[in-house]
Amino acid sequence: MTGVVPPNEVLTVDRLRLDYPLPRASLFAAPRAVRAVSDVSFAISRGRTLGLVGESGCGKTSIAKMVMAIEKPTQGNIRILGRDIHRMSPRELLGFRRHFQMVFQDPYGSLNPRHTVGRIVGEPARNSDAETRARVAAALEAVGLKAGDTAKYPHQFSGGQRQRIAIARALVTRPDLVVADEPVSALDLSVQAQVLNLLRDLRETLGLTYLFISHDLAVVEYLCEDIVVMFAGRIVERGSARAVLTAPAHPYTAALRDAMPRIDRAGTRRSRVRPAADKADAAIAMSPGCPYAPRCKRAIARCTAEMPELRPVAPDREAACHVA
Amino acid sequence: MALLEVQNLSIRLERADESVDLVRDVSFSVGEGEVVGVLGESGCGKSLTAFSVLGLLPQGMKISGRIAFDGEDLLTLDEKALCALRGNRIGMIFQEPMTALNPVKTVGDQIAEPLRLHKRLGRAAARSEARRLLERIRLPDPTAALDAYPHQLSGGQRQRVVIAMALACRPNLLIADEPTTALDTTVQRQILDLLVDLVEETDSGLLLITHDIGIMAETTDRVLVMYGGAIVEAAPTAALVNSPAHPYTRALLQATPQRALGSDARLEPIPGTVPPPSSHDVGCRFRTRCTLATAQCEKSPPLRELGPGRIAACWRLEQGGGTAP
Amino acid sequence: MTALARPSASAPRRPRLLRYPSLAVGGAIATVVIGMALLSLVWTPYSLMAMNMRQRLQAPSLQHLLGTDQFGRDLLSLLMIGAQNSLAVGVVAVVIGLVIGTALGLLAAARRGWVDEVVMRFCDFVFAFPAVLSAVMLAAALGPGTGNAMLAIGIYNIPIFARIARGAAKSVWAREFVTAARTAGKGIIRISVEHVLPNILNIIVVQATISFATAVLAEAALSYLGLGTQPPAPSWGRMLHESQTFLSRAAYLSIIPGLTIVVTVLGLNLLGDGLRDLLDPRQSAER
Repeated sequence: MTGVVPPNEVLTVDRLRLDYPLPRASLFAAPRAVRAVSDVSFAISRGRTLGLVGESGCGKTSIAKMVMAIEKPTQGNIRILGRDIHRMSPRELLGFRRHFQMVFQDPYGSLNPRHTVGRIVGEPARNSDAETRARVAAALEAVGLKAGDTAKYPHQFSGGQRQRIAIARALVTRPDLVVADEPVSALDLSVQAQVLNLLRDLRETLGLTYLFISHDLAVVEYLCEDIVVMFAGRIVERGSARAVLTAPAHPYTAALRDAMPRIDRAGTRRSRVRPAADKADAAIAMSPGCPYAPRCKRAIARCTAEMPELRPVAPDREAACHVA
Repeated sequence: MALLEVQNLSIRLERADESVDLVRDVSFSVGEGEVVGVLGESGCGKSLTAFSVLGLLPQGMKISGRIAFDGEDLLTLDEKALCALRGNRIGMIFQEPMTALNPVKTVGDQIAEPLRLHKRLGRAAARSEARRLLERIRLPDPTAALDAYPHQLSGGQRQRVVIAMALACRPNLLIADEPTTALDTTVQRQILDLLVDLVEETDSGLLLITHDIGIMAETTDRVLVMYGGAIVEAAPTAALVNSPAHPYTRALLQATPQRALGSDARLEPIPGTVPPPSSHDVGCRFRTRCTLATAQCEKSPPLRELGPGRIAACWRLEQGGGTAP
Repeated sequence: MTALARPSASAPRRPRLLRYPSLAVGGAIATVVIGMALLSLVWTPYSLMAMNMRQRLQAPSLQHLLGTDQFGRDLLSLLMIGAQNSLAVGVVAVVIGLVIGTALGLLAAARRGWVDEVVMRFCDFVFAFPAVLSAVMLAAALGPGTGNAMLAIGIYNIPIFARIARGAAKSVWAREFVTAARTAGKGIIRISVEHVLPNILNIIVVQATISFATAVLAEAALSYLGLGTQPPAPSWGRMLHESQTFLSRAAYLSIIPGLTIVVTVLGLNLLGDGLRDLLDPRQSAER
């Protein structure tokens, strides 16, 4: 589909599919593949934050890699600011990258320990002239660090500070889109709130658009206006974050929300009646039906036979479920 | 008499040029059938405290104090005696299920191991007991699982196997160090429920180490909050969450994203960062980040009793307490 | 446990040489040998050309500290000048292997795919031949002489460095800061040079020291067979060979050069071990 992208849309993902090849069973067998992402489409308008939520294996990391153009989709296209990033020439892409940057999960692994902070933050700018240096200083100050920190090394900073450095690096080219992959998951609780507030503030002051990937529903609700819930490579529910998380339509979203340990249930260990948990360890279905069916408490016969499509279940909300 | 009684535990790391206090004067107890949580962030000393119970500290650490298990001071026991306790009367569950399991041995063999070692069961008897345990931990198709290898199981299933191994000899005390941190949320829920069920069934004590306040709230009876190597507050769980006394506990609760759920409120982060451990600091470790700090905090506050089962170490307790917003 | 896993910035990082005995002993031996070689550039107890047939085959004495050879030349002087030779061949051979091998390894790790396959098959091919035999074959093909010995040993070292560089580079490519560099828009070559290379240098340096030891040994073997340094330039290996005829009369003539070779190679190996302990803590036996 090569429809025209609305001018306000920063990221448009259209029917994305990603297959990972598996080793052949034998020399003559047909090549096999694992479908990591199926038929995923979403869009983010300027200034909005979309949360991509799911557990391990749901495909959110693959999507992040495809959006950042470090992995090529098997099918579908990804357009940033209206331009298809996978159809560009390598040189065009290199130049275009300044419009979309990424913040990674691990504050210790995502910074080269042998480079100075100044060099790390300035990397996306691809040169080191005076303008870049000024931008680096500005970026460091925007995240709450000091311009003088450019000469220091990562090991001189704490985890939370390193994550700020990573955020500064993502900001130095004044990107339109920032993809944040679990940016606070590796941080201590007392520092998480600092970084979350920072991300919120930067969004206001710099007009950023975020694709925010996380497994933590509370964090997603805090930061994101819209949410996409993924399971086994497919979108199972999407809509306004607050609405979806308060009253989930899809059984998986409900299971995710119920699984979250709640502070307001303090001290209820003995008295709490544990709801029948769904079989989280059960295999994901290979049948033509809904991949969540084997684990779903509300599955009916139709669920294993027919793949549910995403359809509206409330104004501004869609879910892929036969019983929602 | 409590099952586990830790008194004045201190762990000091001796380096060539300076020595550092990693755990300072920690005292607590765990009773039968009780779930006690140790809450803290990285570097607070909670894992060290847990490891020290079983004598599993790395080289170069000096321990002082008393760790009484069923009346016996574990710090006075030699390695052989400790081995007899480990896996037998005290079980331990670690954070990473993949590295806790031997990749080249079957699940059945690994669960049978403590049984054969401590209970002297023969191969067949151990195998059938292992199968029974696999059923108890609700692993699908227990018979097939006996001969499976760890890499054939999912993360959640592996952690269940680790739990089965820890419980095989029906220990009186179970220590779990961040048992669900590496797992998906939905799996986390199941593992925690399982752990609590098993503990209730066997009436063993559980010492649960975690940094997740939600898990702490839902799973434990009592909580010890650690910061900078020392206990800053201890209380029954509901009391701690609803009316925290220590400024750190209050700040932690206010900084949790869950607090802002369903509202447009802004999180209140704790300013600053955790200071590195040192032995020169004689004041309250939290004072650099505390909104209530005064000059008095240059001297370390003692733990004071605030009520039944509640203690906290802070000079400003009169200003503290009260319901958290 | 974080306090232990990541030593704080205040922890002193002075390596104490005495904590690494391999490093100390190996370093001492290497220093002596290098010192000998350097000194011999300006001075030796006796000139190389000073043949004194009346003093031939003298056992070690005050006049000739290590004795004289069959031409009356002072053995100590010969050894010192021979050291020049062994070290020179070692250095050049290692440099050839290091530069070309590391480049190939970096390329293979960065490009993967068929480039990787080709590089690996090349390495496999060379490794199929026993080490010194490769050098011998190459030297026999190229002809005797110091330069060709350097080339022969150097060529053999290329796949050694290529393999090591490739393995280390691959693990660096998997690290997140390299992914960050890719998303920042850096090309493969710049990433290899700016990010990957500095992070594999430790391992390369350690391998260089070890390769140096084997190169010295290989040079001795080549000279022994007559394929290395040609007369009149002295070479430890050739001295060993020529002394065979006099084994019954002047055993020291074989033992001393032989010992020199052994001690030098041992010292360099120890130095490599010690360096690895120091620079690459993951592989160190101490942890």
